[in-house]
Amino acid sequence: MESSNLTPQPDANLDAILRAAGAPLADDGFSQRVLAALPAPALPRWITWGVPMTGALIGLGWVLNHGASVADGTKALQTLTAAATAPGILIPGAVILAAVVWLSNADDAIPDGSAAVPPAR
Amino acid sequence: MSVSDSDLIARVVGRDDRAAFGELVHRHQSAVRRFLRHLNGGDAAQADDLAQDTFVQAYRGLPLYRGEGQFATWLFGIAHNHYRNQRRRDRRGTNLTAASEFETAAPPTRAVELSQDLRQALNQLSPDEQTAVHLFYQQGLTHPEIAAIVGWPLGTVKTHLARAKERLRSLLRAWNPQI
Repeated sequence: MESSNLTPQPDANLDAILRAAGAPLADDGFSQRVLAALPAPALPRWITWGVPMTGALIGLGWVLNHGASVADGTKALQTLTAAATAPGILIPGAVILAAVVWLSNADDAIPDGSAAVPPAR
Repeated sequence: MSVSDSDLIARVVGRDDRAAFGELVHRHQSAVRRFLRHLNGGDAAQADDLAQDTFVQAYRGLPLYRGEGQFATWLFGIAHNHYRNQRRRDRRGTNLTAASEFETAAPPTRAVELSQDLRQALNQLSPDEQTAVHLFYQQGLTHPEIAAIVGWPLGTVKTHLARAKERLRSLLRAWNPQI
């Protein structure tokens, strides 16, 4: 191996050489690319509950306007609940949901920073 | 006076201030990209893709950041996780080299020689020793911070660094009898 014209380096010099070796990288548009890749801004909070609530009120008004009674509504709700909680639907549904959640979290665990210790140099 | 990282983080979490997040990315992009280039054996394109994913995930996970350590250390942890996941997916067994760190600058001849010798010496180290050297010397992290990022016991970090330094010293001496 070709040797260079190095002068004797005490430990302090070796440390300095190693520290100096890492030149900083220019941004070169990297920050802009990251910002462009961020998820779309979240909807205002009032929309997330306001829209379903408005829909529910419109639906209730429509049902009542068409002569349906509260008893009819209760009966329909009971039928839906019974169908959704039947073992043939509930158990596979829960298993699939658990698998989806587990898979989506498996590769993307984000540390909370609690393991990182403040500098103690 | 520049705004602190914690103030910028508070703006991002509280108001979804993307300009503040852009400033955080701008401040830390060099360190994160260099770390990933080191891990990826100098593959700049792949490292930058991983760095981008790292920052996007950091943005999503910012509400989880407790602020107990340096923000940069937290980013390194995410970057290291991304690298491990990508490596697991690739199964290519990428060799770790520290080449990129020494190819970016264009110093005078003597410095080039020194840089080449150092690069060759670093390539003789084990991947773990290279990572320890990179994080300690090039990123300026402490032993406990390195231990937290890569998941090694503190003693292992110190051992890797001591062995790496001893090996570097002996290699550089062997290549130049004057040393």
